[in-house]
Amino acid sequence: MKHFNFILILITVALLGIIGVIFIIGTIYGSVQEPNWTETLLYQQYLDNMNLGVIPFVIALLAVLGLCIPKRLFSGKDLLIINGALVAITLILALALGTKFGLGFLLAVGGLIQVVVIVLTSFGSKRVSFEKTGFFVQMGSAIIHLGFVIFLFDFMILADDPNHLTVFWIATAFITVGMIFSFYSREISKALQRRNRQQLEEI
Amino acid sequence: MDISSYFSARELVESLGQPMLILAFILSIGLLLFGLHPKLQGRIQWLLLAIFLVLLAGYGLLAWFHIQIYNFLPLKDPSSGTIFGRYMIPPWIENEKLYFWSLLTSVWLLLVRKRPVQFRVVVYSSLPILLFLTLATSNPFQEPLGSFNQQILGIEQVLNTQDAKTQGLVLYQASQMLKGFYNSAYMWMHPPLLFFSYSVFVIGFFGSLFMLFKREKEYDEFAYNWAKAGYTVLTLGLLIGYPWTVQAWKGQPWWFSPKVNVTIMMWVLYTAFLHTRVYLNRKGMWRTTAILGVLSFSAVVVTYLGTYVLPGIHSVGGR
Repeated sequence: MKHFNFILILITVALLGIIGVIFIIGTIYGSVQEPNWTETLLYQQYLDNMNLGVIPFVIALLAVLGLCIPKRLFSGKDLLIINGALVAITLILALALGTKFGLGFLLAVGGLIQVVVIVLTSFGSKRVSFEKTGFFVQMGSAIIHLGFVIFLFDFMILADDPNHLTVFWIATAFITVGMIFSFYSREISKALQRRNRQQLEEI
Repeated sequence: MDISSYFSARELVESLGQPMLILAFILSIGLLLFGLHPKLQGRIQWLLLAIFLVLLAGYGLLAWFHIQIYNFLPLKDPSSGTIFGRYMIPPWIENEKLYFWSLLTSVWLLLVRKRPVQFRVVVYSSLPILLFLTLATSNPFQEPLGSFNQQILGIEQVLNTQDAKTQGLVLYQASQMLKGFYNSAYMWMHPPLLFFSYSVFVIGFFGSLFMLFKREKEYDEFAYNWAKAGYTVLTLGLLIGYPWTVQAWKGQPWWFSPKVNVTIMMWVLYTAFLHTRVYLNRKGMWRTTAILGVLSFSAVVVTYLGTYVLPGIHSVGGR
């Protein structure tokens, strides 16, 4: 299980690195063009090429994110079956109804599982597994990932929906709160302990 | 518009601000000398405090100038004399950005205590570099708010020489700029959050750099502690920019524009940096993490410079 987690992290870092390199190439290409090239057909061609280059890796990143989420709830054989089924259904939906729909499904399922993870973590369930220990760090990690899942779902599926920005702000709130919980878990725990101690002393 | 009062305020900012910036720069060089001299090392915190206060006073002067703009340059309907808008310009636009960044860095440097002197001196070197760049390339006290000033001069000229129809058109354009740019909530939130994160990343960068060469856990933790603070604020700052982008640049080519590319690259690299730290105890991961930390900060520098040199909708030097 630890090995599986480590491999997922390495794949995530590698994918992020590749996406970073593609953006560097795009930046250099865009910088050496003629003035006002964004008003020409060349710009559309550039956008198409960038999409072509980046989208497979973004899809791979989403797939990894989709695979990362069930690992909190399932392990061993169950995890393989769940992830296999998720990938298979995503591929079928993508082929039948389009990539957007397939990824939308993966993100929606990922989001639902993440909600379950947050609920179980908040009740201190032993069923959820994390690399790090501590209530706030685990809650933070789960909330950040839920925030990103909502953000990506909103960006990909709800871009033209009237509620697009409302959903965006919900995702932003999740991401921010999750980061504060995750990065400053020790400080939050200490502050709460101090407050509890003070309350006890007052009693 | 009380243009003469505005000009007087602008001149005062130029005459008082320039010596302040030069003084802060000279004092910041003193940081390196204090750090290298064993007898003076104990007083380095006082010197840091002095630099911070000088920079803060300079920033106060800039803030005062912005208040004068609000007071002296209202947008008035020429026929009725009714004021329909006032400029509330955030103090981190045009050539004020790097100064704001330097000021924030000077605050963080005050917090870098209880570290080896050699390390601290290297971290302190960031301030004279930033202040030198401010003086050489982006001095906020030399022709303060140059582009804004040009716009004001243009409006003033039209109000004095042109017919009512042209005046109305120019004032309408000015009001649009006022609502959509100068006074927009986005301008008050997105840039300061990004500069906050950049200034934090400056400090963390030295941790990764030292980790790469000295491989001590202390440096990795130092880099991580600063990077996580910067990353939280950076992510929030970037996200806050999104709704504005959707509305203001609707139908315009902003996605995959060079500046957006490098910004995402920077965020992606810091994300990778923070992810690798989860498995820091694995063989060789410390090196990957340190390299990513250095690369991530390089991306910060490229992103900042990108605003000036890259073409596109998000650039000030753009084509």
